[in-house]
Amino acid sequence: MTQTGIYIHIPFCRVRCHYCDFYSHGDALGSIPMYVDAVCREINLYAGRINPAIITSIYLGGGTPSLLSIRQIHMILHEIKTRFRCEENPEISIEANPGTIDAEYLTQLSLQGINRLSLGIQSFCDRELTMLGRIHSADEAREAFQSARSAGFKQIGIDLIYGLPGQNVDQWQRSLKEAIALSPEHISAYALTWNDDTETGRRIECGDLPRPEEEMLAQQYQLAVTMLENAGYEHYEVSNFARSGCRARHNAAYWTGRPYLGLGASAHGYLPPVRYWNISDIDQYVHAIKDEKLPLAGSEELRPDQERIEQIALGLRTSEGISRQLVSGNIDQVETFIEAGWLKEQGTNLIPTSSGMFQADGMAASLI
Amino acid sequence: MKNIRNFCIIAHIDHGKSTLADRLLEATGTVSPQAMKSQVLDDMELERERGITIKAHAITMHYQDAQKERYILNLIDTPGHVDFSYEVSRSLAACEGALLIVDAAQGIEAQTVSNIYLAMENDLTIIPIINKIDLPSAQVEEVQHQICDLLGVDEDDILLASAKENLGIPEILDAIIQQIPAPSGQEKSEPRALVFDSVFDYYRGAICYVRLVDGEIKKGDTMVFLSTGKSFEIDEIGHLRLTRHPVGKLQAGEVGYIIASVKNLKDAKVGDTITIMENRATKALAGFKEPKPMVFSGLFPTDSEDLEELRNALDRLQLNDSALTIQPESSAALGFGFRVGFLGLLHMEIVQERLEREYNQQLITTIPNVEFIVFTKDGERIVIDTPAALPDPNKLDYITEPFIDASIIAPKEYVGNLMSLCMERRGIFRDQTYLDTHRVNLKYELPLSEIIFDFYDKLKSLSRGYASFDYEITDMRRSDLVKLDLLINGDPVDALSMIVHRDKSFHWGQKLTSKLKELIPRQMFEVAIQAALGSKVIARTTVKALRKNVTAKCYGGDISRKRKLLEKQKAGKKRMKQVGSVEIPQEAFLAVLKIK
Repeated sequence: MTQTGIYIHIPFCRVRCHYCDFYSHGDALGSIPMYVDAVCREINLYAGRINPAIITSIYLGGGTPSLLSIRQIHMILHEIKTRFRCEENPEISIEANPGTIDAEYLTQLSLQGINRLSLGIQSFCDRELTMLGRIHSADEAREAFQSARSAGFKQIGIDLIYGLPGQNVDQWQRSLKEAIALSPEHISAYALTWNDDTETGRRIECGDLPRPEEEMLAQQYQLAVTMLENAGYEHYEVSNFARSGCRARHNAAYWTGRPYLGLGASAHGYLPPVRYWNISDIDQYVHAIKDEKLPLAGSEELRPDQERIEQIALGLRTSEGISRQLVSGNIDQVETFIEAGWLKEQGTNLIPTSSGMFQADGMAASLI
Repeated sequence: MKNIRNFCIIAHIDHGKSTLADRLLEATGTVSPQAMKSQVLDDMELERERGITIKAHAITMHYQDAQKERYILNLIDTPGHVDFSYEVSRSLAACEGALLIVDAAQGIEAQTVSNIYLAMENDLTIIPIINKIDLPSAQVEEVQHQICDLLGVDEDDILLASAKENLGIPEILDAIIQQIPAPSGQEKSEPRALVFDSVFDYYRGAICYVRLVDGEIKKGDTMVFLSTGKSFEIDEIGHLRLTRHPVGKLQAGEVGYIIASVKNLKDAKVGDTITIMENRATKALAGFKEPKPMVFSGLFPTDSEDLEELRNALDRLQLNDSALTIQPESSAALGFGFRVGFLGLLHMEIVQERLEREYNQQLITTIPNVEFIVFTKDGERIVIDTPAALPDPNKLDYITEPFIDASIIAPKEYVGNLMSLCMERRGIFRDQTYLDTHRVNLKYELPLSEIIFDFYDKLKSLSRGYASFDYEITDMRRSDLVKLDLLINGDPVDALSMIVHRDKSFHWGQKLTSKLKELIPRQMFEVAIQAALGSKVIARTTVKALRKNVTAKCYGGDISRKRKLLEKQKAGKKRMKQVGSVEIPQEAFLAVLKIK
């Protein structure tokens, strides 16, 4: 039995956020029923193909999966549970936009067996939320969090973004403080990543928004690490912090090379040694499914040397680190990184420190 | 012999030498207009693109004049650039006359002047021709004045032509026959042939292009090169039409070729004298010089795995270019490569371009330098052609470097600019003469090392392209020269060292360090770039370390993207050069060559 995760992409939003470059539509809510139907059929298509697998985690991501009705969520989860063998208590996560949920909806989610809620709060400053194009206020975010608690969610994660144009260390500190005050089990703190195709990206490139400075990012990162560690969170991945025992199992699978099915338009999946990705177009996706075809846009089979590169690149992002053996040909470089305080030796493993995680890509480039 | 005329054409680039040669070939029926590939004398792609003739050829024409007298006209082509002035002088030595072609719109250029002097030294009869008289911008009278001043001739002696429009060609042919003297060798004495050019043929070996001065040489004779005493049996001898035309013998006054299974082009040196073993001349023809490279540069393959390929390409180039010298060289930064010696700058550019274009070599070239002579305190004298070979400064007594006599001709409004350029390049002013009312000939003594770097381009840009330039190497002079080292995180980058005048070391240090700062990408650790004279750092820049070197998110599709990026970086690393722990892009080595 291979422990396997399932990711389901829900490419719908009420409004697109200014910084987001994930595949999603802000004006296609009418297509949701047809799409959910197609996802259920895609589950079916894989059912015969990847057994024997045991599903250990399910993750509804987006887009805005909290736009789905409880019935639609039920359809998807039911289909998975019918077609695959699932672990007794799989981790079932959903991303939710604080602007789309109420107490009733959250209670219903919990009743569907969803046991982990990832709240896209991003900031506790209304001005920043407006700049990002979020549809909710800081108050609504706090309210959503409390509702989730009341609804019985024991695993709540909060997403925050730093490195916003014009954001200083103090402003970031305020958001961190508010997040810690809510006492979530999990906090993700992402440096703003912009793409030139997004509104935020365009505004930064044309000088309309101040370009976040690298030095500021480094200070804000360091602040997050210090504050969250002091508040009892473990820094277990570049941008992820969790209370002991509360790490996101599904996400951790990405970083340790475990298999996962990716379902829905634009979703990526990994069935070792094959990585594949689905069509990034709702209509074409639905069409392919109707023809009983896997909606693949492409796939590649990893060679062992490519698997090694991924192991190094991903391992250096996490507190699990990498096996020393993987980089035995680059002892000198390893020593340099240990001297710089970026890597620590732990048994046969090399573990990145927090400052090392901030250099993970550079270390990977010189160690592969 | 009395009906032979041997001549060449002196002209500046683009003044119409090749077109005129074409017209002469047509008019004498040597080639039909249909068969004429335009400008038959230039046959290398590169030559035609640059509008210059690199390698001399010769061609024999038969001509019958109005009195039905038959003549043999040998046109000997000359290379058109200052780097090849020795080759030009040997071509001129094979002739009794020269056609001087001057563009009616451009007037006389520096290089033309120096070639005229060369022709005069060789006692050649000069027939001045103003070409392109059909151009709307032609200034025939003015150019006539220039020529009269320079040659001391009357206006009536100057022919007017337009090779393009086929104007004035019969007059030129008549002048060749009337004015150029017939050869005056000793028909009966020991044979002596001047090698005015040689090329390498993969099947036949070195082919010597010769002017027979005295006696006669036959197929089957054993020929001897007087400079080396090496002998070879002659397989084939002949005249040069559009193709080689074998004959039984060559006689005094004639121009032709000799093939004798000479395996190495170095044995067939331009300017050497060929005689015959059985009837051996003892006295060589005057003017022979060993080819001597003046500019040196390191040539390295961008991928160290291509070293053998580069070696083969250089070897093959050298087969046809005996002036090239090649030594293996190794650099800590660039790996294994070659130190290559060139006659001059253009020669260097041509070789590099041919390696890249014809032999598909990807090269890193290092900063060119001249040859220096180092005198140590122990009284040792060391010739060096690379900064790496400079002895420890404590042991140095002094260094000498080659100087040139430079002649620059330009319209007078640019003289100020050009004088400051020469000053900046450590020039010593010698003379300033007016060629006519608005063109000035400036004479300077300059260190050769100051003109091998960006001098010609500067000259052109400071004169809007009007200045022309010519030089001759004169002597070695003592200068206050120092070795400027470039250090990256304390490690010297040998490939970026240079020998410069002490007064300029600070300037160069700053330029080099700031240029490299632009070119070295930020890395995980800070990179210190220093320029130093010995242990004294004179300039420094720093490439700051990357503070953040990680993407914030790595889920689903990000993983493949990241792996692909890493794979790409890994492949790109092959193209980076490692100095200590710092990776330097190859472009950095090339870009320092473009520092202004």
